[in-house]
Amino acid sequence: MIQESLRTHIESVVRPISANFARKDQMREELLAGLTDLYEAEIAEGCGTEEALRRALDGFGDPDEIRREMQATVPLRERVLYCGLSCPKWVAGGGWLRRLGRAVAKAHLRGPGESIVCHALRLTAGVGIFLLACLVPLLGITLAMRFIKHDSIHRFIVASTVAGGALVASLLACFLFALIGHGIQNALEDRFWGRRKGCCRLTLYGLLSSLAILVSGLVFLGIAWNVLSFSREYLVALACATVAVPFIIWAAIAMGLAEFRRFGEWGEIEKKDEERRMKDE
Amino acid sequence: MKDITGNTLRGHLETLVLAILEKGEAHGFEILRRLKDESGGALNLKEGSLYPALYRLEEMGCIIGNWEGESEERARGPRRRIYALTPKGEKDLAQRREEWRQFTTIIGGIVEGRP
Repeated sequence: MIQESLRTHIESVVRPISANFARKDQMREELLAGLTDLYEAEIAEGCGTEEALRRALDGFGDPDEIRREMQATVPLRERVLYCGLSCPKWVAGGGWLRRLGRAVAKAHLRGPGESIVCHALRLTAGVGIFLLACLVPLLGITLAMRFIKHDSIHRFIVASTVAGGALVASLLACFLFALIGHGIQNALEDRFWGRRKGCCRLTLYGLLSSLAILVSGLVFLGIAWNVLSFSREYLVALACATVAVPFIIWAAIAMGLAEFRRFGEWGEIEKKDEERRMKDE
Repeated sequence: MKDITGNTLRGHLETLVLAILEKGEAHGFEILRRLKDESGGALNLKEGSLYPALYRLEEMGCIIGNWEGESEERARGPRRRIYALTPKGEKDLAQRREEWRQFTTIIGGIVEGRP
C-alpha cells in the first residue's frame, strides 16, 4: 500500500515527461529508490507509516518543479521526438490501447533473440506492403490511360516495368538502410551512449526511416514521370504528393509509435512488479 | 543556524555534488545525507531537486552513474544508482573551486565593506 503511494507519486512526476522509455524507466527507478530511502529513514526515526509517508513526500519536493527540471535535462531531439500527442485519461488508461501499443511496438522493434537480418527483412516486408499500397493509384491511372488511348500498350508495359523495378529498388534500399542502421546504431551506442543502451534507438531509426522515405518518394516521382508521360498540368501536384504524402504518413507512424510506447509504460511496470514479486516469493 | 534551501543554492548545487563525490561514490540519498552532515544540518535540500543536477553532471561527463549490483540490491524495492566522479569531473571541480575563490574574494570584499 505504502509502496503503491510512493510509486504513484513518482509516476505523477515522470509520466508527463517527454523522453524515451529507457530514460523514463531510469528516472522512475532512481526517484523511487530515493523516495523509498527517505521513507525508510523516517520510519527508522520512529514515525508511524502515515506520518513517515507524509514527511517523505514533503522532503522529496514539489512534483511540478521536479518535473520541469527533469524535463530540462532531456536532450532537445528526444524531447521533440517524444513530445507525444496529448490524450484523455480514459483513452490512455484503457487496456485496449496498451495492448495495441505493445503489439505495434513488437511489430516494429527488434524482438528478443531476433537477428538483425530477420528484423531488416521484416521491416522490408512492411515497407513493401506500404509501397504497394502507394502504387495502386498510379497503376489505376495507367490502366485507365490504356483504355482511353488504345495505341499506348507499349507505354503501359514500360510504365509497369519501371514501377516494378522501382518497387524492388525501394525494397533493397530499405533492407540496406535497416542493416546500415543497426551498424551505425551499435557503433554510436558503444562509443557515445554505451551506458544508456537503447536510448537513441527510435531516434536513429526515425532518421533512417525518413531517409528511406525520401528515397522512396524520389523513386515514386520517377514512376509518376514515366507513367503520366510528362502531363505537365498534373506533374507539380503529383510530384508534391508523391514526396510529401508517404513522408507525412511515416512521420505520423513514428510519432504514433512513440506515443504507443508511452501508453505501454504502465504495462511494463506492472510486468516488472510481477516478476519481482515472483522472485521474492 | 538558519536552513539553506534550494533557491539559495541555485547554481552551486552541481559544485557541491562534485565536491561530495570527490570523497567517494554515493547514491542520491547518500549525497543528500552527506551534504546535510557536512553543513551541520543547514543544507536542507529537497531530494527531488538533486536528481536533475545529477543528470546534468552525467550529461556533461563529470560523473558516471551505475546501477547497484545484485549483491547490494535490497531484498525488495527499486535499485539505486551509484555515482562516481570522472577525470573530467575532477578537472571541472578544480575549475569551479577557483571560480568560487574569486567569487568570494571579490563579492565578499564588497558585501563586507572591506577596502
